[in-house]
Amino acid sequence: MTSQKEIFALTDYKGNFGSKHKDIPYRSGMDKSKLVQYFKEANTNLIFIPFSEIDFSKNNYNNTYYIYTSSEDPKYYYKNYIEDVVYALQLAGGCVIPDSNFLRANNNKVFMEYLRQIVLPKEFCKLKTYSLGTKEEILNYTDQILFPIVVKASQGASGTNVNLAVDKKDLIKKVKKVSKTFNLKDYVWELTRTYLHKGYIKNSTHRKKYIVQEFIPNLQKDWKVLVFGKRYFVLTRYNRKNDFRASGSKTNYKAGSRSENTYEILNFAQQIFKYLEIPHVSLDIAFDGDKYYLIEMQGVYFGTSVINMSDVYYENVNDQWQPIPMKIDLEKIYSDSILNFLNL
Amino acid sequence: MNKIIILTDYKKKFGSKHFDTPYRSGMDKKKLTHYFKDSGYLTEFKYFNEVHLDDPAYKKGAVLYTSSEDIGYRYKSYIEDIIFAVELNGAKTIPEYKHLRANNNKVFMELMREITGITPHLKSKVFGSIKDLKMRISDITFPCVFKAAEGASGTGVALVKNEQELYAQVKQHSKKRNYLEDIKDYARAIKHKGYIKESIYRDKFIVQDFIPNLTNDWKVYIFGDKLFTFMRPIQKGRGIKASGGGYDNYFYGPEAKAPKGMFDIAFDIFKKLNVPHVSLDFAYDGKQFSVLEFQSLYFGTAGIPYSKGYFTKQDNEWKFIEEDLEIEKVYADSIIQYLKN
Repeated sequence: MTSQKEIFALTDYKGNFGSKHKDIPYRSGMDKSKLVQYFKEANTNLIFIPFSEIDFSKNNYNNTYYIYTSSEDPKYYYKNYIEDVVYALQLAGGCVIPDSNFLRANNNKVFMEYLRQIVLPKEFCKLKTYSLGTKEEILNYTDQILFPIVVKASQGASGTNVNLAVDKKDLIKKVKKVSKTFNLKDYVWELTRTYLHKGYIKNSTHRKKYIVQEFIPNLQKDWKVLVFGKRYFVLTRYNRKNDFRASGSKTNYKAGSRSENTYEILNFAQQIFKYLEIPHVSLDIAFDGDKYYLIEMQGVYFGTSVINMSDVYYENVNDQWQPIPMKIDLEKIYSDSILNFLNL
Repeated sequence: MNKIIILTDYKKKFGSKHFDTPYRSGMDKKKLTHYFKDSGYLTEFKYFNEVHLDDPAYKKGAVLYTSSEDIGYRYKSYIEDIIFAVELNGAKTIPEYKHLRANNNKVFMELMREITGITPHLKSKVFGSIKDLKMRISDITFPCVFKAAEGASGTGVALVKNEQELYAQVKQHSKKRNYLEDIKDYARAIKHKGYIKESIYRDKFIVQDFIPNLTNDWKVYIFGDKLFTFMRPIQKGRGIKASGGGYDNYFYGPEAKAPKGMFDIAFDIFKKLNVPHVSLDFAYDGKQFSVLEFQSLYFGTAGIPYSKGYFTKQDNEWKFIEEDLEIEKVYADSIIQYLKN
């Protein structure tokens, strides 16, 4: 008889776990009873507990498996708490899946840019990117920047807070827009300090982090690829009208068998995935007719609408991409990716 | 000569220094350069935004860095990204990233305190929202101490006697409401049956055991083999808070009348944390010591100029050495000692 294995799934204060398109009730995440069932079929006991029940003073978390949710709450206050708990679990010897690095990178483009440089070879980091913490910091680089250039707030999804700057003046304007932290009361205090203390340098009024990234010209579309273990889901997205952004455009989406340049894109996604050492990932990929670019990656809590849109997913069998008709749900796809990752 | 990278913020500030000139400019970088050079270390000051992970210095070199107490800790979040990345890239970040995460973040500090086993008899619970607290309210023993995750000098700390007071503190120390977001969320609840609204109070906090009858606490800094201490009486009108009572009201060095055994416990914790320097807040109820908080970087250093000397262990005895020391010298020596061990 095989022994029962155990995985803990950490939920937020609402009891929600993960991200699911068309979830019922709205924004309730994955169906937990389905997850329990799919893990049970693999002889694995899935136990849901809220983050707030993690108690290092009472329990030993060493060598225990944890999967966890992230959060897209306004301003990411709760996500900040989740980061504390998950990172602490990892430090305490718990096996958190995916690694807490990917949680830090979730909806945090500054860290994502650093993480990709660490975990991926240079060929997947082609776009010149500046990761900055204040408005003033861009002034050190304006003379070396080639325009147009993309300015992205560190937080944000679906193309929100992503801007194109056409020249130096426009760049500063866009940087101001994404980095603004101005507060009148704080500013008055700062002014007082400059009068009281000779030589005092005021805090920047623009301290929201952001990235400034090389622009790839003449793109009309990009691709979203979701990878769950062996299963690949693909979507071609065209740009918004008169816009350079495809993410969140909902324009001329082509998923599954209708996607374009599918096998080339899947090959590129597969090359990336093999370096990441995580069970699942969402990749935004661009192709300019010559080179492929990884625009963004998310290893946790990414949108799953591509699965709902797809008629097929793909598996690579003997170096050939095989389309497989969709007959499974997100919870099964997710569970299998975790179980395969852990060899359970 | 060995090289050390020192990362400064956008104002070229490095570290925390009491009586700094200009105001809030941190440590004197020329002095740091001089003291490190004296010990055979070449320093290179860089801005955080100048970090390039391809540079070998950020793959295997030693990297010192500042933190930030900017309002809302926005810039600190950027610093965290960079230091975490530099550490993952292979560099020796001093101290390690986890200490930066714990800096002015009492939730993570408490989790680290429990993982490291620092005075484990003092229990705390950490929460991410008022709803998390409501789920575990039966686990709370009153009176207890509420502490907002952010904040220094006793701000965001209060003694609470019952559930109502605790909930009131959580609400009081949450950031200002965003009414537009609240309306949107309310609309979602109307539109989608079963939708659970976001908690309005999602600023993380801790609830810590209350130690009754304390009249003071002790602050202990350890920099390598030097220990500085001062006693902070709880000033009238400050409730349970010893912190933030004003440096002129504290008792320094031998006048702090540190209880026997406190320095040894402090030194054990310092060793356990594996850092070059640490600041510890000690409570003593006559029976046992409790570490209420600790910081391993960017902590206030007023105790150094006020103390007129430091304690060091010689022949198994803690001896007070009278000596006026500059923070830059104390800091540089602690780093060098750490690197050599």
